[in-house]
Amino acid sequence: MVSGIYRFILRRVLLILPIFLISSALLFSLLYFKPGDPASELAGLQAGPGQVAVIRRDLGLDKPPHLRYLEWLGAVFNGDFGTSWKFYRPVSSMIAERLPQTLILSFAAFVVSVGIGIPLGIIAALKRKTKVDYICMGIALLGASIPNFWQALMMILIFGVWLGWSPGLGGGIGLEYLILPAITLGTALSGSVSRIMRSSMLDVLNQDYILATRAKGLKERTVILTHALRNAFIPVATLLFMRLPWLFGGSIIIETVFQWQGMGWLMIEAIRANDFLVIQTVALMFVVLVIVANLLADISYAYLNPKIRYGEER
Amino acid sequence: MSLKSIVNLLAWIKPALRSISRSPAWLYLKRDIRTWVGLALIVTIVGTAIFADFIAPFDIRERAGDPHQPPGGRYILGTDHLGRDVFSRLIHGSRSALMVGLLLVSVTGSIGITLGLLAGYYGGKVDGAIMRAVDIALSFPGLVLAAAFVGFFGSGLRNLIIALSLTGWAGFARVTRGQCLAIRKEEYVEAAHAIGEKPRTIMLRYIFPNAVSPLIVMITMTLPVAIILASAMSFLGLGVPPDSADWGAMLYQAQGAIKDGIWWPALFPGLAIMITVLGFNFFGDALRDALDPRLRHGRHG
Repeated sequence: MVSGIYRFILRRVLLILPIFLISSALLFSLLYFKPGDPASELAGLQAGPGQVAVIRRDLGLDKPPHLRYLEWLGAVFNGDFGTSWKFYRPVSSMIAERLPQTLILSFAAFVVSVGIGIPLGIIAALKRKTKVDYICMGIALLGASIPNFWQALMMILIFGVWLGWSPGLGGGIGLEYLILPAITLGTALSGSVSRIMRSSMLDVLNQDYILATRAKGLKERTVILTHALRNAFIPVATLLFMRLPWLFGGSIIIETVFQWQGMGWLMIEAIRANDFLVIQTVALMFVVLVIVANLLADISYAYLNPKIRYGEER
Repeated sequence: MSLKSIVNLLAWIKPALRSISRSPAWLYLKRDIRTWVGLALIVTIVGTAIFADFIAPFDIRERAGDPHQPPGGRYILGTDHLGRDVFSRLIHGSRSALMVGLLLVSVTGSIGITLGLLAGYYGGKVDGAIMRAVDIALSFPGLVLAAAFVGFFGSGLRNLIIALSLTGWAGFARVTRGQCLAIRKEEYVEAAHAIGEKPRTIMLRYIFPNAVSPLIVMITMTLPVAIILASAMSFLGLGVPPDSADWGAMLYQAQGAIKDGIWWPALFPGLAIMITVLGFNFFGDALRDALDPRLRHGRHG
């Protein structure tokens, strides 16, 4: 018999397929809901009827939608996303260039949010109902309330313009250009991480086994760092994975302000250039990223939750 | 609205206020400092929006002076790249923020609550279909889909609202369904079934009024998110027209000059967004704790 956790994972993997099909069909159909003729819009005013017909064939608008969708889906699975009409390049190579940059930025923001949020939450929980707690939670609320696009502008102003640190202006590739965007993108997440960390830490500290470790005479430091922290971290891990889609959404803004060469900025460039194919493909890539993130969240949750691990919960 | 209905409404206010002031939630709420800080900020913003025409010293569309005048003197917060008064535009921006936020929450709220009621009431296949749609909407990065939508159909207020509603309804649907599932088993709902009330009446007159309090919390918590998302879209040039007196649009236009050290058009709209969001977050946090009896005794401080 297959043990609980594998059955759970298998079911989640099978659920991916319909979600992917529906989301991709929705994104694909955007082109057909669009008023006017996308082909002549793309070709511009000077284009002759011949050129428009070529574009229409390239977009597949001369075929019925469902056939075109299946064809497109087949091509997508072969890594062929078509050729961009505005950037004159295969879309797959543009994605290949931009995807790693978005992943790097998201990962760095992730590290920032954990690095700030966890210590802040632990300190607030240990100093519960004191000034330290209120200050920590004030910082967390502030971090969660700052609009990240404005924070990005202020970062550029303070570090790039006033302090004259040239990577602060953005527009480059490399580690020093990553610092400000990562901090900006990670700030809001660190706010919610610290709030969850605090309440989950308080929950754990009330448990009997913590009392037991204290009664054994272990040092407070050991109690907190080895016994309490490991269990208090579970809800935080779930939150972090659940917030990944939100992080990808934020990358559109942050990448655009700092001109970081990722998929988010590519999306904005494509929107400004009216390049529907690129918009569609980048959106689809984000959907795939989110589906993978959700799957990871489910799996990590299953490993951490004994009820699912031992197959009690369906 | 006829005169009679207004009189009827007024007659309702006094008993309603009396019952609110005696409810345990209010007793908890009024001791919480977050309630008063939040309410003070919300009242300030709403007041600014109502009296914007009287507060703003200059016309928001016309140039008031030379471009990029620093703050101080005639222009309290300086002028922007077209010589328009930043303070006046900031004041009028509160209207845009509240209007877009309320519009978005009412659209997502009514779609989500309706679907949530249907899913919770009928169960079975209806529930399954609606909840799968909720799963998909919640797993979408909302801003990405909204940006893609605007990329295809163009910007503007109407498309902004539609774009952000595409995923925004799902949270409301989930909360309403959960409430509806719990309430459906209550005796008064069974009694309503027994006397032959229509499903529509049961959902709207029996279940919905009893599901209101978590929904009020949800609305208070969603409004600041809606304001931030709408401003973010306008900031990217995908929302309201870039020339509008809107905080996001003002930041969009302020981007160009910031590298020359022109900080004032970029600083103030962001502060305004933050103050508005903080106000609703403070009040929403306090309200959530007050309406949730498990939290009322403050185990988590």
